[in-house]
Amino acid sequence: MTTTATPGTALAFLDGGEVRVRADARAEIGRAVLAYLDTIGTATGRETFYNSRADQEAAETVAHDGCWAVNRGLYAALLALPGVTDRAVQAGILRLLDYPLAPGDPSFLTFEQETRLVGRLARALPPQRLYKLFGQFAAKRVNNRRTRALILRAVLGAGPSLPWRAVKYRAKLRAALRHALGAGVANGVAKLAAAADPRACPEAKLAKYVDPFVPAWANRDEVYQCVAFVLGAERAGGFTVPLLKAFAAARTDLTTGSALPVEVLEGLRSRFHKDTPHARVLEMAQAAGTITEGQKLGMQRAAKAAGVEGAFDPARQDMVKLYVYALETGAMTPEIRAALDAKARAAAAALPVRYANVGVVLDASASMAGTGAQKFRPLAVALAMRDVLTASATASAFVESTGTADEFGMVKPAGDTALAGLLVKALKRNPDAVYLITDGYENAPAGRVDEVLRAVRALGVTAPVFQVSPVTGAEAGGLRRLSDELAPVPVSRPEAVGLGMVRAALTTDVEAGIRALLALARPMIEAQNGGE
Amino acid sequence: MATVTVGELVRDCAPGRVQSVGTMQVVPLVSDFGDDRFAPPTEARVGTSGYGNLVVANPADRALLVPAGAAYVVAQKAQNHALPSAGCVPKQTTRTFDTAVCVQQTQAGYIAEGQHELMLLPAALRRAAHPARLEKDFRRLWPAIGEFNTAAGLESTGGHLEKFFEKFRTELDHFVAEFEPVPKQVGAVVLVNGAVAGVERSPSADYFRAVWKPLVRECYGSMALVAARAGAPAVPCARVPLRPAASLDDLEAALAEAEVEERRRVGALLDGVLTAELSVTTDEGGEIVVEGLGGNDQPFVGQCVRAGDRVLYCSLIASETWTRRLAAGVGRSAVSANPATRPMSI
Repeated sequence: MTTTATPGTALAFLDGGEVRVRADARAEIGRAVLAYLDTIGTATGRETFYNSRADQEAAETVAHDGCWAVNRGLYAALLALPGVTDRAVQAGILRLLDYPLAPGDPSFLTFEQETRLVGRLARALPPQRLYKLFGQFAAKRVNNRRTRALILRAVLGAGPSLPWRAVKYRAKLRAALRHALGAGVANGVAKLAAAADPRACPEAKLAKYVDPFVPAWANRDEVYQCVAFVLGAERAGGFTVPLLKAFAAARTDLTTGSALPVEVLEGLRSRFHKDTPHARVLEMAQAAGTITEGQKLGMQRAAKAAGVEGAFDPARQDMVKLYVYALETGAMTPEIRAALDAKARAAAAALPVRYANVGVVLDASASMAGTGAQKFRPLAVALAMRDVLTASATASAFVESTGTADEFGMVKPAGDTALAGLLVKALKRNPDAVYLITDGYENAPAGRVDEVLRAVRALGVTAPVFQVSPVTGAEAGGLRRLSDELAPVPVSRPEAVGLGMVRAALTTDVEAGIRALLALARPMIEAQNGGE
Repeated sequence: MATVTVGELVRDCAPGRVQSVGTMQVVPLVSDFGDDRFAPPTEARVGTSGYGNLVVANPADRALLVPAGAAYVVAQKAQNHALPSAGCVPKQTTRTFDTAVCVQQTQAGYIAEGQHELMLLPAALRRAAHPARLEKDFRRLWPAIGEFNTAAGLESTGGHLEKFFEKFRTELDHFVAEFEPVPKQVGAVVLVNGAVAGVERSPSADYFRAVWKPLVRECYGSMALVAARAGAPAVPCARVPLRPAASLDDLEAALAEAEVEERRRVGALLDGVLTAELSVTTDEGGEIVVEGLGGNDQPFVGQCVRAGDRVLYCSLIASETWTRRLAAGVGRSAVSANPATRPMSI
C-alpha cells in the first residue's frame, strides 16, 4: 500500500502510512463505509418483499458512491473481504476500470495493487457473472488497457475449461473478444485462429494481440480453435477439439453431443431435432454426467415432470440453496437435513466470535418469504443462519421463533412481526448473546423492540444483541435496524458471516475500523498472480 | 329504507393483532369462512374501449369480482381509468363497465387489454366518487382529483392522479413495506391517526391477499400520507408505550399489558363503528347482489356484495362528516372517557 498521499478529494487518506480521516467528515465516513459493507455483504439487486428492483439498485449505487468518496483504495479493498456478493464485486470492478486511477489520487492502493486485486476478484467470479461484466464493459464503452487485458486474460487463459466455456457462453465470449480486440482486429484474429498454419497465414502478425494472453502452459492449438469457434470462423478440416467437434456433429446426430453442456444440448435439440423430446436431453446429460450440482437442484422439477431421475448431492450445495429448494418444493429430506447440519457446524467453527450460551430469535413473518426472484431467499438465509448460530454455541443454544418449526426445522413464513416478546423471553434464559434474525421490519407494533431493548439495558442486562439481516432495505440505505441498541450483522451467505461481525469495529472508531478492514483484505491484495 | 350495521357486514370475522406503524394502524379481520366463488381481480385482463368504458375480461373458470375503486395506471400512452363501483364478471366472459372514470385528464388513447397491475383509488377519491358511482361521465372525478392532489401539496395538476403516485411513490411503497397480511385474513379495519378510516372485507383469504397491497398502499396509505402532511402525530392515540419495568418478568408483563390496552383502545373505537347503521340501495340485482351503502350524512360510504344473506365483500370508507367529527375529537374523547369500554369484539 502507498505510504503517503495527499488528501485530495478523498475523505480518508494515508499520512505517513497511517489511516487518517477528514475530521469534519468522521461521522459521514463511518456511515458511508457501514452502508457499503451492508450493501456488498447482502445486496443481490433483486426485488424484496418491500422494495422494487429499481429501489434496490438505486440504494446500491448510493452505497457504492459513498465509499468511493471515502477512498478509492478502501472501496476496492473491501471487495476482497469474505462474504461479499458476486454482484457487488461485479459492480466494483466495473467502476474501478471505468474510472482510471488518476495521478495524485490518495488511494490506499497503488495502481499495481489495484490492478492485481481487480484481476483476482475477476478470476473469483463465476463465469456467467464475469461474462455479464464483460457485457457491461461493452455497454458502457469501457475499453482501456487494463480492461482489454482483463478480458483477454480471462478468456484466453481459462485453461482446460475453455472449450466448455466456448460452447456454453459462445455469444458472450464473442461479444467480449470483439469488444476487447475491436471489430476489425477480431475479424482478422478469427481468420488467424482458424488457419491450418497460423504462423504462415496472412494474419500471422495479429498473433501479437492474442499470444501474450495465452498462458505458457496452455495448449495453444486448443485456444486458437476455441477462439475461431467463438468468433464464428470455419476451420479448414473442421475442429479437432472434442467439444467443438461434438457441437458441430450434434446438429445432425444429437447423440454425438452428449458431452456438451445440457443447455447447449437442449438448444441444439430445440433447433435441429424438434421431434426429440426434452426428456431425452435430460437422460443424455444424466448419463454423461454433465449436469452440475447446482443445475441438478434447479432442474429437479423439470426432471420429475419429464420422468427423469435427477438426484443431486446435498453435501455439494450451499445452505441457502438447499433451504430455497426445500421451501419451494416442500421436499426436505433427512439427507438434506444432515447436509445442512454438517455445513452449519463447519460455518460455525469458522466464526470469529463465538459465545457459550446463545439465544436465537427468528422472524418468520410473512415478509420473510421474499418475493419474485427473491422468493424464499430471506427465509432461507434466516434458517441457515439459525443453524449456524445455534451450532456456534460452545455450551448451549435455543431458538425462539414467530413460527413453529417442523421435525426438519422448517418454518412456514406467515403473519405479522412481533419480536419484542420473544426477545424478552430469550433474555430471561440468560444467554451470553442473542441473535435476532429479521429483515428489520416490525409492525406489531413498530418500535417495540427498541422500547424493550432500552428497558432491558436500564435493568442492567448487558448481553449483546445482534440483528442478523438477510436483506437490505432500499429506504434505509443499508440494513433496516430495529433499534440503535442492536449491533447489525448483514449476511447473504451464512458461510461468510464474519464480514458482518467485523463491521462493529467501525461503529466505535472509524480509523481503527478502516485499518482492521484493510488488514482483513490485505492477503487478497498482496497475493501475486492477480493482474496483468 | 333498508339499513345494515357494519357489524353485520363483518359478522363472521374476528379481529387479529393490531399492526401499528406511524400514523396508520391495521386490525386484521380473520375468518375460517372462505368463499372461493370469486377469482381474485388480479386475474382480470383489462383495457378500455372508449373514454369511460372499462373492459374486463375474465379468463378464470369462476366469476371475478372487481373491487370498488379498481384503478389502472399504465405505462402506455393511454388514458388511465378507474371503476368507482364494484362489479362482477361471469366466468370466461368479458364485461364492459360504462361507468368508469378517467383519472388522467389530458392524456388520450385507450388502454390495450392486458393483465395490468391492480391499483385502488385513494380513500378520499373513493369517497368522492361514491355518490355518482353509477353515472356515465368519465370526467366526473377530475375536480376531486385536483383537490386531492392539492391537499397532498401538488399544485395545478388537474385530474391527473398519476402525478400523486409519481410524487409519493417511495412513501407509498413504505406503507406497504410496514404491514403484513396474516393467515386467514379476509379483511381489515384501517385506522389513520387513531380514527377508523375504512373497513374492508373480502370473500376469501386468497382474494384479500390480491387486494391487500393496493389497499394499504394506494387506498389508505395515501390517506395516512396526507394526514401526516397535515401534521397528524406520528404515533396515533391508540398506540400504547411500555411502562417502566422492574425486572425481565415485569417487562414481559408490561408488554402484555400494552398489547391488551392497545386492543382495548382500538376495540373501543371499533365498538362505535360496528353499531353504525348504513342505508342500503341496490346497485345490481341478480344471484349476486351489489349494494350501495351509507352516504355523507352517515358514518361510511361504500358497497357490499351479497349472495343471499351472506356478505361476500364490503368496502367502507369513513364519510367526510364522520372524519370531520373525529378530527374534532368526538370519537377519541369517547375512548378515553369510558375506560370500562368492553374489549373489541366482532
